[in-house]
Amino acid sequence: MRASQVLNFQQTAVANLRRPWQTFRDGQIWYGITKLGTKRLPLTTKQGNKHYYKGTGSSGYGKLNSSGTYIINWNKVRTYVVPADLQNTELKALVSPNTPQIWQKVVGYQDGFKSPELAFDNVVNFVEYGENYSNEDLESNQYLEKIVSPRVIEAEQAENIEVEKS
Amino acid sequence: MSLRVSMRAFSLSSRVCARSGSKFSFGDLSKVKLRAPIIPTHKNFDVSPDHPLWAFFPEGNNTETALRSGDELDMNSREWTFAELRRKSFEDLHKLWYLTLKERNILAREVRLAESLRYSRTQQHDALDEKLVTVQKRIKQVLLERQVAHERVQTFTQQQQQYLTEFEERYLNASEHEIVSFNEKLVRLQYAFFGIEPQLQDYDLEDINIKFVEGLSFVANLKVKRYLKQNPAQEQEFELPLNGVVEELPFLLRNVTEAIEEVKALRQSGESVKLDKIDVFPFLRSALSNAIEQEELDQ
Repeated sequence: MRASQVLNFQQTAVANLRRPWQTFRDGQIWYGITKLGTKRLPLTTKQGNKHYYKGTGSSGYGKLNSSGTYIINWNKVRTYVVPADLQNTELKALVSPNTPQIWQKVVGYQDGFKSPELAFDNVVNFVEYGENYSNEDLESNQYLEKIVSPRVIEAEQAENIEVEKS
Repeated sequence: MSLRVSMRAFSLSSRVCARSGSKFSFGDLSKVKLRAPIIPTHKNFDVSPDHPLWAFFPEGNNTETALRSGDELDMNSREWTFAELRRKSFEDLHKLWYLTLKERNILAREVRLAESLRYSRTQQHDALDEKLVTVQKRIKQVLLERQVAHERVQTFTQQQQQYLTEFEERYLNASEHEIVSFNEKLVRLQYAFFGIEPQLQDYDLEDINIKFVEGLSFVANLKVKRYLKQNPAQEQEFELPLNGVVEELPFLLRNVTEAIEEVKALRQSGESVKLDKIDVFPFLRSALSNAIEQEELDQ
């Protein structure tokens, strides 16, 4: 059948344009909520034909033994690790709009916060200066936290000395 | 048609009662008083104030309404930014994750209720939920950054060795008033590089690994060298090197002079043996669990 022949099944040309043609009684289309927007989303558990079983990947956390009792393997059962003192925390899910926003700038490391040099320098700083090694007054720096590599600082100092000498 | 046909029958216990011939009766039925029927509304139920399902309500058991309108929602608050989240510890991020999850659960419950009531003004709920989703995505991103950096830094063995030798030199040459701060640094170093917890009761005995053994030997040798440098007279009596973990462990648990005495006693009694590789972890586990028990008894 040629595609144009579909038109022949419709009463009018306008009806053909109003695809999909069939709707539920309340106006909802047969196969979804909207006609517009992206349709190439992953299938849900309710979609697909009779051979399609999606599941949640959550079955098989145990097995039947010879007498037909289901023995749960607790190592396979999913667990949720909730922090112990969640009730007492002062943190909130969102931040007050009055809180000043801070900025961060990484200087001298190739891949920002993912760079291993930064991680190593942080470990060394922790060993040398303790837990709060990076405590600085952000308010005086216009809320800009600058994370500068010690190698950059050394190079700058060397340059300054050379300038002073000349 | 179904093959099974339900039949009306007495339950088993009543049949047994009838067969045994026991006279079971209700007594004088005229004396039984009828009570007013209990109307099945929610007001007739007592819900415990600490019922876990209260977590699905914005103010817990003090919540007045089941469904907040859009104006009642806090639409002014903003998401946590990357910069703010990067400054938080893992524990804080873990807490934040669950706080956002709880908020999202409350919103999802309200939207579901609104759907069933055919109340369509839930755009504000959706907007707030989107903010919370953003926070969750950012938390994951920050954790990913840390994970990547951590995995990459595993190859930095050379730099680590360089730092350790440099630290050893500084520790050995530290003056008497510097040594206190250097000992604090050593505690942090053994935690950062070798995963040895500062407090004995925080040790995870299941997770004693090769790094722990390396750290133990580093710390013990460092302390011994410092001690022998301070007391040259001891150098003749105390022979180096230390003979494996059996002699190294006292330096982690006790202060140096006590540890030296203990090692000397071990050597005299012939208990100081070099363990086979396979025996190292079991020895450490049993010795450390004994030490933890001893510490608990002392307190």
